[in-house]
Amino acid sequence: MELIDKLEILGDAAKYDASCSSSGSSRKGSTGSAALPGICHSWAADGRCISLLKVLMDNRCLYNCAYCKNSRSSDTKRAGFEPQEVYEITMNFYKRNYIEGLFLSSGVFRSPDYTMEKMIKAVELLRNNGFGGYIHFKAIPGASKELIERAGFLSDRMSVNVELPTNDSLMLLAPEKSKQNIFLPMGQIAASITSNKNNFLDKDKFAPAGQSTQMIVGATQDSDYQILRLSQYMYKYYELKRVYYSAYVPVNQNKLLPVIDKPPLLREHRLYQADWLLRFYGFDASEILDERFPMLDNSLDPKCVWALRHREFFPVEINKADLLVLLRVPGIGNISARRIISARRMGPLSFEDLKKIGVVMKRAKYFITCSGKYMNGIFLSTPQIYNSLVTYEKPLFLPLGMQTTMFERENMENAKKIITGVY
Amino acid sequence: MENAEFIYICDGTIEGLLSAVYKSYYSHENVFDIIASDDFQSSFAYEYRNITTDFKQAQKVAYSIKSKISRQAFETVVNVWLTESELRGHHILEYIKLGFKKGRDVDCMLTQENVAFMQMMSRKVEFEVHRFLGILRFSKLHDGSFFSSISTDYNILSLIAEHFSQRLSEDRLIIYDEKRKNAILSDRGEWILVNGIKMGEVTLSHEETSFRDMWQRYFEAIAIKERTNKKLQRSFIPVRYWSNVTELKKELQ
Ligand code: SF4
Repeated sequence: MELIDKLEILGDAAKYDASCSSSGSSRKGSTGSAALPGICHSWAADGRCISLLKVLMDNRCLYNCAYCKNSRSSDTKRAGFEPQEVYEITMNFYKRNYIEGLFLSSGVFRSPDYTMEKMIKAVELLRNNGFGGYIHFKAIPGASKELIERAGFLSDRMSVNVELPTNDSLMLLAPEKSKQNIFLPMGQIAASITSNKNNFLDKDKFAPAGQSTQMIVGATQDSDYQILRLSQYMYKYYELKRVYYSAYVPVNQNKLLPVIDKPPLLREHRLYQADWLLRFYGFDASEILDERFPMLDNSLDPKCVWALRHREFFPVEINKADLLVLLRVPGIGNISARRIISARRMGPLSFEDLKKIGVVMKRAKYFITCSGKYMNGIFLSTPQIYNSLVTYEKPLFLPLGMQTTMFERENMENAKKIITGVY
Repeated sequence: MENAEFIYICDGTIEGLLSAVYKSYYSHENVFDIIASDDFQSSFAYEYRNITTDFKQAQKVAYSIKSKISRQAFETVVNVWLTESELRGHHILEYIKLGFKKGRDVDCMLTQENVAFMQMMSRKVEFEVHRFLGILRFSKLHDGSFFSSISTDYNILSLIAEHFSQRLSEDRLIIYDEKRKNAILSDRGEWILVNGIKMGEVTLSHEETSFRDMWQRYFEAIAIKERTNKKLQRSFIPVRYWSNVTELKKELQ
């Protein structure tokens, strides 16, 4: 088989893994460094950023996970790289500035250890030839501790995919993978990251850009609340840098899987928004969702929903509130909040001033006061605010055709009642 | 004329700009704007003065901006100059004046139109720099060097040079600015900026097409059909950049 055909098969086979971004670490080689975070090199036709060469070492697999295109019983073209081939392609793509590095994953070919060793060889070739670019290494569930350890010292980031948020779902769709096979290596990686954090030399650092994981959304009955709670737990106890959410794309026919005609992209988007609130805005999962409302809302982003349910928290006084409070205002993000804090040191801010410093008011205006006054003196009821917030939702992230049908009137009326509590 | 307003004309380089700032301080003339000689168009409203670039003076001004205001402010000045936008010299003068008065706090004075403008323009330049670190493409030439041709909104060549020079620190590279006819030449980690270049045809290495084809094929394979969203793609990488991007060029035809 020609190399270009292998690349096509093994690139195609890797595309459902959402994690892609390079996030910056201190490694430096004679060719390249992994120092700058988040360089996107291209955007595919689906609008997703291409930063790394994302490929599988091999897409032959012993296992039979129901949701996976590469599972043993699925009917798909198979191929496997030799380490030398991965090296050649990565180095040449990197020098041409197509990519920021390599994202290497694999099906379980022959055995977890056999597969891991082959992957490690490819990565070793790169590092031994001066490759300082970013390497994201996907650990194979069930591989030995020693191999995971070796891989970590060659990589910038490691990950083990959780895929499904509950044990029941795992038992149902991926019975050959156990919860233990996932959380054991994750724990090992977390421990190795922590204990090698302060080593000085690049080669003595273990996955200096941390570890990440991915969950598939919409292949099972699990709720957003279950998903978010698990994310929060992993951020806390496994030193996770990122959790990626991947809308389930039906690739296999299987009676265990839901029948859907479109991947749940809006749900995926909302989960990313909620995840953002966990990581950067000081929210707790239980503030965003609970047993009563276990699903994120379609019509509004999670921060707006929280604000409408917590009117007692508002208005926030722009000239007094501290950072974490400002960050709770819909429409005020990290950049705006920091600008407000620096600008008000020079004197109290008016609504005019806020506009001048680039704070977008369309959402924020319902929730803030400047020196005790609402903008134009408006004070609206919760359902009224809901109506205006909804009109600002511009779902560019959704493919054409999915945008208009999304919020049918009736659904929106229901959402409004649930969020505002006014029936 | 007693209160004549001056426009200083420099050679267009950063050093030229800073020399002009220097002169404006010591001549006590009322300088309204600093422009590059390429942009010169005379008007009766102003007096014009040609400024010769003086590296020592430029260095002094750079040092004062960094120490009396901040390093950040110096970067802002450089970035705004590289936008080549109208009245950039005017805004830079105002900003420096205010900065010398207020020190590093000048960057908190976001309600001042001038400060907001400077920061906004500077951010645009930073954004373009970041974008080009990603979307610039090299081709390997027959002599083993790497060549890239770019067309940028702002004059960012000098801001991306170090990154690529270090990235390919074992190779020779050329990055050519199609609009401004400038180029970065880098040889194993050391680079220079050369002005007024005429680019001829380049000869590709024999393996170049095979790697381009592989990249193209990979690029098409990695998109998930069920998620196709060209609008989103275009919002990230506007079509005006596509002609120099290996994997997108094809779609323009
Ligand atoms: S082990 Fe991985 S590659 Fe194999 S079927 Fe399961 S998810 Fe797919």
